[in-house]
Amino acid sequence: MLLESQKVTPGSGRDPGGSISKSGLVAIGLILAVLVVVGVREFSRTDLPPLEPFPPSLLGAFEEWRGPLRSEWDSYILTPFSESGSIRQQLTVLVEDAVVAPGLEVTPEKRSSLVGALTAFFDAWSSPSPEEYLRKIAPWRRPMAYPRDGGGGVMGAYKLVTGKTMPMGLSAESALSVFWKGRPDCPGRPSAGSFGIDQALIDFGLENTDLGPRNSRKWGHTGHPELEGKWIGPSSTAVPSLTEPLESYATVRAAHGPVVEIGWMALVVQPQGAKRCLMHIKHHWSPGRKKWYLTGIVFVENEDFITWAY
Amino acid sequence: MVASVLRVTLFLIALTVALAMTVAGLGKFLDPALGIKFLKSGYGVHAQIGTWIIYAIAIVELLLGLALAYGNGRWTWPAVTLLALTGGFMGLLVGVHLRHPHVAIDCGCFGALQAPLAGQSILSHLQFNAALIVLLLSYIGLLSLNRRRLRRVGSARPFPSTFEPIATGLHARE
Repeated sequence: MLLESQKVTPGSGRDPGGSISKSGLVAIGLILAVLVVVGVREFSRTDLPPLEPFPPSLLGAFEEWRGPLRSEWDSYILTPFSESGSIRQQLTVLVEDAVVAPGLEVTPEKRSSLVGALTAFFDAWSSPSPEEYLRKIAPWRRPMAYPRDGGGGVMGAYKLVTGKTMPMGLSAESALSVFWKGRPDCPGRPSAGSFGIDQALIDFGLENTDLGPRNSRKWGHTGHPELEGKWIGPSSTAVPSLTEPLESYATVRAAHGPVVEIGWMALVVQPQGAKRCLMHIKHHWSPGRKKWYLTGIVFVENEDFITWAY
Repeated sequence: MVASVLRVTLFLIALTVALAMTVAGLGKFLDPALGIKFLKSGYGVHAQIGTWIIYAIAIVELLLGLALAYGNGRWTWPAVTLLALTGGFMGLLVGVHLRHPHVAIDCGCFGALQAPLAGQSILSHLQFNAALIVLLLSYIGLLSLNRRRLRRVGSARPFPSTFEPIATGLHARE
C-alpha cells in the first residue's frame, strides 16, 4: 500500500514537496487521530493527578534523619495559630533564647520586630478566609499575578490541587482560595504550631549558611544536605509563593550590601488531616524599612502530602 | 525488496518521531505551566517570557513533527532540524541538572501529557531524547543510503538527474 500510494509526477522538478505524498497524508492522518484521542482524553479527565510517592532511593536517608525526631514531635502539646496571645508570649522567649551567629548583633528592636512578624503570620494562617489572610499580612507582603511575576512552583501546585492547568493571569487571591482548601488527600494549610522552649528553633544568621549558626542545632542539620532539596520535592510540596515581600531579599542586598541578616525558624506543625511535620520559615531583615520580611517557607514531610501558599 | 524495506523503515521511524514530537507539542499547549516552571526554576527565565518560549517550542514541535510525517522519505530538513532541537533539549536538561543537582525539576517536555514510555524525571527524559536522537540519526542515515542507492540505479537508467530527489524512496522500484 505504501509503495502504491507514493506516486510522483514526473517533471515536477527537484522540489519533491511539489507533489502530494499519499503516504505522507496517511501519516498525518494517523498523527492527527492520535492527537485528537489524546486531547479529548485529557480534556475529559476529572480525576486529580496522583500524588507522587517519596523517592525510594531517598527514603532511607530521610527516615534516618526524621526517625529520632518524630517521637519527640509527637510528644509536643501544640498551640493553635489562633491563640495569638500565647504564641506571642512563647515566641518572645524563643527569640530571646535564639542562637546568634558570631559577629552578629541582634538588637532588642530586631528581636521584637521578628516576634511581631511571626505572630502576625501565625494569626493570619488561622484566618477563616483567604481575603482576611491577605489583609493581615499586608504590612509585610503584597499579592502577585501569575505568571507575570509569579513563581513556577505555584503552577505545579495548582495542578496538583485542582487537576487543572493554572489559568494564565490568575490573581493571588484566586490562587490562594484554591490552596486554602487543598484537596482531600493533600491538606491545604497548617492548623497549629508547637511552641515551647527547646521545641522550636530560632536562629539569627547570615544568608550564607556557612556563616550561620543553624548547623549547631538539631533540626537545622539533617546530615544529608545533598538530599534535602529532593525530599522537599515531589512528596512534600515546596510551599508556593503567592505574595512577595514589600522589599525583597535582592533589593535589600542591592541597597545595603551582600551581608543580609536572616532569622530562621523551625517548628513542628500539624496540618489539618495530616501528621506532624517540620516547617521552616525564613525572614530577612530590611535595614531601610526596619522590618523582617518573610523570605520562604518549607514543609518537610513524606507520608502526608502538604501544600500551602503564603 | 531492499527499496520496500527501506521505505517502510523510513516511514515507521518518521511516524514514531513525529508522534512523539506532536504529542509533546500538544501537551505543552494543553499545559505550558510545567515548561514555564522548568525555565524559571532551572534558568531564571521570567514566567511571561517562558510562556512565549514554551508556546513557540510547542508550535515548532507540531510543525516539524507533521513535516517529518508528511515528507517521510522525501525531506531531510525536518529530521535535521528535529535533531538539532532534540539536542538542544538535551543540553537544557543537562544544564539544569548541573546547575541544580539536588533538586528534582520536571522538564515539562510533554506538558499535560505523560511522555510515552518515559517518566517525569530529567533522567527519563534524557533517555527518551537519546532514543529520539538515535532514531533521527538512523532516519537521516537510511535516507542518505537510499539516495545513494537510487543515484546508482538512476545512473544505470535513462532518468534525468532532476528526478533523483523525487525518486528517492518514493517511486523507484527494483
